[in-house]
Amino acid sequence: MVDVITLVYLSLMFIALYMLAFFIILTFRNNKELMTYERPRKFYSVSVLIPAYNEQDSIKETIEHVANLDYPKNKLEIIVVNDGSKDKTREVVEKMIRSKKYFNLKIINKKNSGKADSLNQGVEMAKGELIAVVDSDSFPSPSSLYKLVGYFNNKEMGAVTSFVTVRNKNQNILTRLQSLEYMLIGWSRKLLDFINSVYVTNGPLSVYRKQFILNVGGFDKQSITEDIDITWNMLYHGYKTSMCLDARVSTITPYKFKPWFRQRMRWGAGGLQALQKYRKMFFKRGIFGYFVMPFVSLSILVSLVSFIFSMYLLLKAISAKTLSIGYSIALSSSIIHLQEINLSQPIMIFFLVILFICSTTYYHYVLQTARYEENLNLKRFLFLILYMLVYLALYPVVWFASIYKYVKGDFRW
Amino acid sequence: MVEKSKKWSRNKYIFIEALLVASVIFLTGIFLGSFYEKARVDSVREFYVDSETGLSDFELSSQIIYDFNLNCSFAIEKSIYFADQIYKESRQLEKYDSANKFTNDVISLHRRYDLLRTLLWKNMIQNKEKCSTSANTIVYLYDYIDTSLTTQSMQTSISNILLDVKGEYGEKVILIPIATDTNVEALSILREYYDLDKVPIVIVNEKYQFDNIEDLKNIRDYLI
Repeated sequence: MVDVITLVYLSLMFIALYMLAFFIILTFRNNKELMTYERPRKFYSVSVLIPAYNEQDSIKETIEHVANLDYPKNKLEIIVVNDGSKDKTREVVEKMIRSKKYFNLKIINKKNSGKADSLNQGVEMAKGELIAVVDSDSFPSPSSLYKLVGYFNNKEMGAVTSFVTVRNKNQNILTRLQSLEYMLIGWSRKLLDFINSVYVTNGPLSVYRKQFILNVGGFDKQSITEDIDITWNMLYHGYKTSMCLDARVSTITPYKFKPWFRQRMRWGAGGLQALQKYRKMFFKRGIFGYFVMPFVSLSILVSLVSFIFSMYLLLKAISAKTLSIGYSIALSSSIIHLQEINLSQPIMIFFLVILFICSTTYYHYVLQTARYEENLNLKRFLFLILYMLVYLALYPVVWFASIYKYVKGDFRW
Repeated sequence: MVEKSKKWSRNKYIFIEALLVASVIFLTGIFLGSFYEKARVDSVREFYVDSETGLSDFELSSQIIYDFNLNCSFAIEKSIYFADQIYKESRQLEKYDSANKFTNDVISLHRRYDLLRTLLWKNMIQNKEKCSTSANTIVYLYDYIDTSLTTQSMQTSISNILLDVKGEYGEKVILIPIATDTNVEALSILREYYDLDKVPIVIVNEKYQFDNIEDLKNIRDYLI
């Protein structure tokens, strides 16, 4: 008879197989369009908002990257929103403005009130038809804005996001793992674009139609992940969202575990906030209610259940072995016998092997196609294994911490 | 760039397609796994048929030896041989036991083996009564189906120490592990007769009972 543990295991395996099949089919069906973008039929005026809080070290370079975008300068406005920085962010930006080297560069100095509020104030001041949001530690590639603006040829388009790469990738193993993660996130986000389901427009570089931002009530000041919230709000209002894999922006990622964990915890709690806020949309209103929300919820659920399941099995095995070792020591008998080593669980192993081989091969294909590194090599393969077995295993821990943060009502950054 | 509507129409069946692909792989996995498990059970079943025949042969041989007053040592030798054979098969079965079971085949097969082992024990008791022997019988009664983590660990340790003893003494020890919760009525009668109400328990030569794991340390002192 099939017991509960087996049923849980089989259910998880089925969901994992489904998701893998889903992304593989999407990839191969849309292979030719993955890297394409549309030329803008008109050059919209764009206001680039750079919200900044204590960013004296990176703000200058961010502004320089924005100023060097391949986009008509007379259509570009750069607004730095200084969110009450305590460092020299303000001085750095004002010095740049005084130098007159940077066309149409402005600054809003305000008391610290959070990123969403900074963006809203920036939107209020912006003259552009489109609003580009660039994090103050991110650096858009020259052609990125041009490639993103083309998506707004579609009158229903509300938000378009870019492909984020990690600038400090080679700093340490954590940043390398994040680089791999960003690559895979970007890829899957692009795939979701083919079913109109881009549900996050990232902070490093995303472009929004200003009128639509105003129509949905602006960025939510209560949300700790305003980028998730604004995207869901756009989808909720029936506006389109999209992603351009060829529009790249590099960003600086945390290189220490603690800030990394805090960042992920904030993302997680922000996701839960969004789920709570839009909960009434479950299985309503097209792809948003029927796919995006269930997909996000299921991803969280699978992550948590897998973790609990694995921990249960692991702790059970450890407890059994500890007790057994205790008895064996008391009896002065062998601690382990060969007969205890048993790998004959054919169904379980079949699914794990299939999943592992398929996902590793698929990820390899993704990295190769997205030109993550020049060549397929053993080092990259081993790194991928490390990512899959160690880095991804940390996700459920982050989710538990996020749930705790959310339940506690701790919505600080 | 492809228009959104075109993209959607090209991909709108993706949910069903992925479901079909996942279902095919999933069902293939279930099918292959069940097939493999069935093949393993079949191979054990073949062993079982051989063992069953062997036991009948053993019973008949013992009967002839006693009826015709033939050499007793032959009967004992035969028991040891048969016990070792059934012991090796039981090891194979134990290996399958620890795998996840999708059918009840392994459990029912286990029950049949328990029956066979009980029969062997009964025959050993009879043989020992009729013939003097230097072989030791170690019967190990344990829980198979409903076991707590503590019991499982204790049983693994007992099993390990008995394996050590078997390894050291070879043919001088007949090791008969029998599960008590597979409803073998004959075993219940034997347990009642020898007053064996605790599980797990180890019985040496039907005289010495070890229901405390600590005492098993000295089991070698009780062997002939």
